[in-house]
Amino acid sequence: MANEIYILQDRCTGCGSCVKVCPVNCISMSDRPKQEGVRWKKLATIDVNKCVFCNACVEDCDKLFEKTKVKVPNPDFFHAIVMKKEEVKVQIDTASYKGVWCFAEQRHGRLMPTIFELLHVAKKLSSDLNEDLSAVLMGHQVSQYAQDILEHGADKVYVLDHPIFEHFLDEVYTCALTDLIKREKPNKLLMPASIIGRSFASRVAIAAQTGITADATELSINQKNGTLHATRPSFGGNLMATILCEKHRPEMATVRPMSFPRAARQPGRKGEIVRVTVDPSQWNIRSKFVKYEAEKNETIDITAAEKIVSGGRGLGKPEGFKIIEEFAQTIGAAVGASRPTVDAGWIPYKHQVGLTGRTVRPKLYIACGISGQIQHLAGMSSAEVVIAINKDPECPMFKLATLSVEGDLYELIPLIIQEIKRVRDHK
Amino acid sequence: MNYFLTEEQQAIQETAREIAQKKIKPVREHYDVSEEYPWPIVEELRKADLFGVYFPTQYGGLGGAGFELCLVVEEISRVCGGTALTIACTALCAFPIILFGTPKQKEKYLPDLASGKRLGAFTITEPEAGSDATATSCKAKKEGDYYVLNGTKNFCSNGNAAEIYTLFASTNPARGPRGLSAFIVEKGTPGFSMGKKEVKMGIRASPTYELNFDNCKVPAENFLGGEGHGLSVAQGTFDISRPGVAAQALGIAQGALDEALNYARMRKQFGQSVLSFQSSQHMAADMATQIEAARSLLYSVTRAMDKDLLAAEALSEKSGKTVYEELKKVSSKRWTKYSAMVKLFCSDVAMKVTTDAVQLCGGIGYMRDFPVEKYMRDAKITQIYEGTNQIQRNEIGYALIKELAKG
Amino acid sequence: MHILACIKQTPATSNVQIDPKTGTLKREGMAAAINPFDEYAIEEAVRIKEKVPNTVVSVLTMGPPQAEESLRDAISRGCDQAFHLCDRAFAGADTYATSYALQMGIRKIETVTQKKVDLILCGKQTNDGELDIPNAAYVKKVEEINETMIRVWRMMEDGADLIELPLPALIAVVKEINEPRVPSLRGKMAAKKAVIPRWTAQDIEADKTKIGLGGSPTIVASSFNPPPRIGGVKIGGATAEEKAKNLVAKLLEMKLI
Repeated sequence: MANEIYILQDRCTGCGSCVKVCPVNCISMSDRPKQEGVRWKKLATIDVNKCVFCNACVEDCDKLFEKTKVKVPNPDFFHAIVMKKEEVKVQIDTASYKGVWCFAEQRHGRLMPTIFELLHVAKKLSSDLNEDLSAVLMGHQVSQYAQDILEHGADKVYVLDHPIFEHFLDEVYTCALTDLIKREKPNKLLMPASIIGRSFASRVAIAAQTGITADATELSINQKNGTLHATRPSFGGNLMATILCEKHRPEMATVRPMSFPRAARQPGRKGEIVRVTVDPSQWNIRSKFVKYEAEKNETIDITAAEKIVSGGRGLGKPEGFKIIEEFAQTIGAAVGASRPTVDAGWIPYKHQVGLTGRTVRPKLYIACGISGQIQHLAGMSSAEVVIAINKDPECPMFKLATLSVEGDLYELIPLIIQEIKRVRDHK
Repeated sequence: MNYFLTEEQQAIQETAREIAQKKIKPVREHYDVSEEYPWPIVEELRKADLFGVYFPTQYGGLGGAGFELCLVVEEISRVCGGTALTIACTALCAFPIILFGTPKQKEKYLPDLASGKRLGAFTITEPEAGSDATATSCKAKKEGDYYVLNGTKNFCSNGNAAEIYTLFASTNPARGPRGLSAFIVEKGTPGFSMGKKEVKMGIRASPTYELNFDNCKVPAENFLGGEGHGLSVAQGTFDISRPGVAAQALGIAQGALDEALNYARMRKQFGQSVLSFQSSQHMAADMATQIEAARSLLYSVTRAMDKDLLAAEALSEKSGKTVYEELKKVSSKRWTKYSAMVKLFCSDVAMKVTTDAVQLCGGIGYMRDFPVEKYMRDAKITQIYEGTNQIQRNEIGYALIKELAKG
Repeated sequence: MHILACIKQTPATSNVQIDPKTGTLKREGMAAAINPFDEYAIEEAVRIKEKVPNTVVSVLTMGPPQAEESLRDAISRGCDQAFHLCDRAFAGADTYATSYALQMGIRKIETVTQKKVDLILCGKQTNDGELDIPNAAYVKKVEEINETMIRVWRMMEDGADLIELPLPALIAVVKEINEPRVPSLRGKMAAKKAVIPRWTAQDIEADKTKIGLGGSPTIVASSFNPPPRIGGVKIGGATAEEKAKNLVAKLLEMKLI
C-alpha cells in the first residue's frame, strides 16, 4: 500500500488554512460544485504527487475544527483531511540501544571545539534519558584529548588511535564508526555539521540502517518514549521542521556549529577511557589521501559567504578596512565594501557589494559606516539579518537594518570585537 | 504583448536574455571602463550557439535569418550595447559572404563564423571616405593569382578581435564608384596590420581600430562579387544588416527604460516615489510608446525581408548562383527604403529615450555609478554608423522619388 | 566513460520568502527547480565529457511527474540522456529511502544502457548513495581524471585535501567547482525532443518496504514558522561599551556568532 491522503469533501469548509501550512505547496483551493444545503464556496485539493505526507495539514485542520466547533456527524475525528501512512514493517529492538554518543572531530591532530558544543546539548539529553554520555575520538596520536573530553562532561571516551585516521577519508571513517555502532549499540549519536561530519554522517546512517537529521539546531527528548526530537531549518530557513526517527537506532543528527554553547570544563572529572583496537585490514579502503594544502590566506568570496562585514565611506580613510578585516576575522566573515571605497582604491573591486558590484545574500550582513544608497541596498537587501553601525541615525541603512547601533565605528567596533572575544573565552 | 515568436525564436530570446542578465550585466561596467574585449562573454555566447542563429543550417547555423539576429542583438543590447557588437559585427562580415559568396567561399568561412570560432568585421570607412563610400582610396591591384592591397581603413568595429574581414578597395580608381570591389581578408595575411585603437564615447566594450594594408597579397579566390561590383555588395549588405543596428538601438532604449523606471520607483522626493509624479509618468509613457513603435517597425520589416531572404537562400543552394542573384528573382524591389527607415527610427528613438532616462533619474543618472548614462553614450553611435541618419533620410527620399517616377 | 549526475527536486528555495503579513511561505517562486547545487554537478559532468573522449553523461532524478522539467533542463545543459524514477510509492523518502531507490535506479540504467557507470556526480545536498564505491564530498576541483581514477580537491574549513579515488566513484561537489553555463539553443532543442523513461518502483525492482515514507527511518513530525524577524531594533546604551555589550548579547541570542 502506498501512502494515501485525501479530503473529506463534506467537511472541508474551504477556509484555506491548510494551503498556508503545507511546506511543499501541494494543496490548492478550487471552487466547490454547487450543492443543496452547502454554504461553503471553496474546496481544498491535494496534489498527491507533490505531497510528502508530513501531517502538517492534518494537524492544522484538526486544530481549526476544534476551534470552530462545527457540528459533524461522526465525531471520532474532526479534521477534513485523512492521511493513511504505510506502516514500517522493519522492527528493531530499540530497547537494547543505550547511551548518547558524540563524535569528536580532530584536524591535523588537534581536537576541534565542536565536541564541546555537542557535549553541552548531549548532557541534557543523556540526563533526561538517564543514560551514559560517551564520545568517540578518532585520529592519530590524539589519545591525550580523552581526559579533556571527560572533563567537559563525557562519562566515557572511545579512543580509536591509529595512523589510518590521521587524515579524513570518507570510507575509513564510515567503516570505523559503523563497526563501533554495530558493536556498542548507542541510542543516540550526535555529530558536528562540519565538513567532515556532514561528509560521512549520512553514509554511517545508511550503513547502520538508521535515520539521520542533518543540520539540527534544537534537540530534545520526548519524555514519554525517550525518542529524539531534532529540529532543523528547512526551505532556506523559512520553516522549521522537527524530525523523528522512532523505529531505528541509533537516532542520528548532525548539529549546526555555534548552535549551542560549549560545555563547561570540570577539572579533574573522571570517567572511562576505552581504547578500541583498530584493524583496517577488514575494511575495503580504495580511496587515498594525497596531500593537504592550507588556505592561502585568501579572503572569503563575498557571494558565497554566510556572514559579511562591510565598510563604507564612513570609514573615512583606507586604513579603516584594517578594523573591518579584524571584525570579519573575529566572526569568520568575509569583507565587503561600498562603491565609494572601491572607487577611492581603498579595497579591490571583488569586495564591492551593490548594483555595480556583487549581489550577496548572507545570513548576517554588518554594514559599518555605510549610509545605504539605493545602489548598495540593491546588492544586499535580501540578507537575513542586517546590522547597521553608523553615526547618522537618519541614514537609510538604519531603516532596513534588523539591529542598528548609533555611534562612532572606530569606538564601537573594537569594543564589539573585545566583547565577542570575552564571551567566547568565558564559555 | 504577443510578438508571435515561434518556439525556436522564444528559445533564442530566452537564451540571449539569460546570458545578458547572468553573465553580461555583472561585468558590463568593467568592460566599459577598461575597454577590454569581453572574451569570456564571447565564450558564453559560443557555447549557447547564439552566433549561429541567422546562418543556414548547411553552414552550421540554426537556419534563421535577420529576425533571429535582431532578437539576440536586442536582448544583449538591453544590458550592454557594446557587447552586442561581438555578434552584430560578425554578422556584418557574414552577410556579404552569405549574399555574394561562392559555394566555396561560404563553405570556407561561414561555419567558423556561425560557431563563433572566428569573429568577423566589416570595413569600408576611410579617412577621406565616410558616408561617401565612393571616394575610397584603398587600392587593389591584380598580380597573377593575387590582389595586392594598399591603403588605410579606419573606424573598423570589432577591430583586432576579428579574424575574418570583408573589405572594400578600388580595383579601378578611374571608374570611381564603378571601380569598387569587395574582398575577404584573413587576419595574419602578410602586409595587413592593426593601426591605432580609437578611444570612444560609447560602445567601449567593442574595439575600433585603424587597419593598414601595405602590399598585402590577397588570393584572387577571396574576391567577393564581380570586379567593380563593390558598391552593390555594400548596398545589398546594408539592406539586410541595418535592422541589426536598429535592434541594438532598440535594446539600448529598452534597457535604459528598465533601469530608469526601476530607479524612479524607488527614489523618494517630497515624501513620495518619483514615479508617482505625473510629469515622470508622462515621460515614461512617451518612452515606452516610442520603444513599442520602434519594435513594431523593426519586427515587421525584418520578418518580411526574411521571407525573401530564406527563399533566396533555398534557391541558391539548388542553383549554385549567389543568394543575391536569387533574391532579385524572388523580390522585384530592393529593401533599402524599409531597412533605412528601421535604422533611422530605432536609433532616433534610442537617443531620445536614453536622454530622457538620464533626465528621469536626475543627478544619479548623470553619474558613472549608475548604468543609465552608459546607455545614453552607447545610443549615440546607432545614429551614426552603417550610414548616418542623414544618409538614411537621403535613401528614403531617393526611394520615394523613384517610386513616384515609376508611377 | 559513463558519468551519471544525480539531481534532486527542491522548491527553488533561494526565491522562497515569508509573507510578512501572514507569516507563511509565499507561493511565488515555489516552482520545483533543479537544486541549485546540482547545477554544478551537471556542469562538471559536461566539462569532463568535453575533456575525456567517448564520454556519455546520464542524469537521474527521483520525484513527481513535474520533475521531468529539471531533467530536460539538464539535457539542455549538455547531458546526453535522462531517467526518471516516478512513483507515488517513492514520495516522502528521507536520505535512507532515497539512496536505496537511487541505487536501484542506477542498476537499471546500467542494464538499459549496457554501460557501467564510472562516475557519479551529485550536488552538495544530494550526497546520498548506498553504493559500495569510494566517495568524497565537498569537492571543489577535479584535478585529474582518466579511465581508471579521479583526483579531486576537497574543500575543508582550513584549506583543501587532495584525494585520489579509483573509478567507479561518487563525488559530491560544491559551488566553488565551476560556473554553470546557460543552456545552449541546440541543447534546448534536444531537451524538447528527448524521450525520458519514467520508471516505477516495480520497474527498478525496488523492495517496497525500503522506499518512500514507509521505508524512511525518519519522519517530519511537525513544521512551524521560525520566530519572525525583529525589525528596526535600535541597540540602546548610555556608553559605547554598553552598546557593544548589548549588540553582542543580541547576536548571541540570535545564534549569529
